Amino acid sequence: MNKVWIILTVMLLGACQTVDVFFPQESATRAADRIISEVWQPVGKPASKELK
Amino acid sequence: MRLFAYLLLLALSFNACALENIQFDTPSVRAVEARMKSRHAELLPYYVSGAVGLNLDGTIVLRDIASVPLAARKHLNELVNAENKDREILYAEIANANAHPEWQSQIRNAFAPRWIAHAQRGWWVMSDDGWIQK
Repeated sequence: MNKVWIILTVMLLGACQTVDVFFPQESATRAADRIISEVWQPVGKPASKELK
Repeated sequence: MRLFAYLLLLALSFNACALENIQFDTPSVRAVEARMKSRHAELLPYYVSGAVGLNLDGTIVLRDIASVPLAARKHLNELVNAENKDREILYAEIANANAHPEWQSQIRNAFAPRWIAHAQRGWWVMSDDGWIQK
């Protein structure tokens, strides 16, 4: 039983390391949208600080 | 007890597994943002006139220098160069903020179409078929 847990954990961690090398594309696009809105906001209108 | 340890380990591994959000709220990112923001006020009339256009690669380009009065050309040239330099710094700083400096070019690629998407009506943007007016 213990071995099963150990194997499961190791597999999960291994899978996660694989996932981690991927670039978070959607999050990067959201970051770009936030930054561009901030940089290009109409003069005199402070950007709303809404949550991501 | 042992089960608890396994559960803890699992929870930690899930934590490590969660796909990270891109971090961009750091002093160096904010500093370059502030520079770009104040420069935007100067560049805006040139986006509107079409003297400056948005390129596909996330940079800006002087596309119609002839429409700019002689006296303003040198300064506009400097503005465009400074803006492109700052954009590159922005991409690098975001990559650094995420402890993945190698992400710089992917961040640039993520930004490039968004600049064009955020461009206002009337601005000139590069497309696969050349310059078009939004």
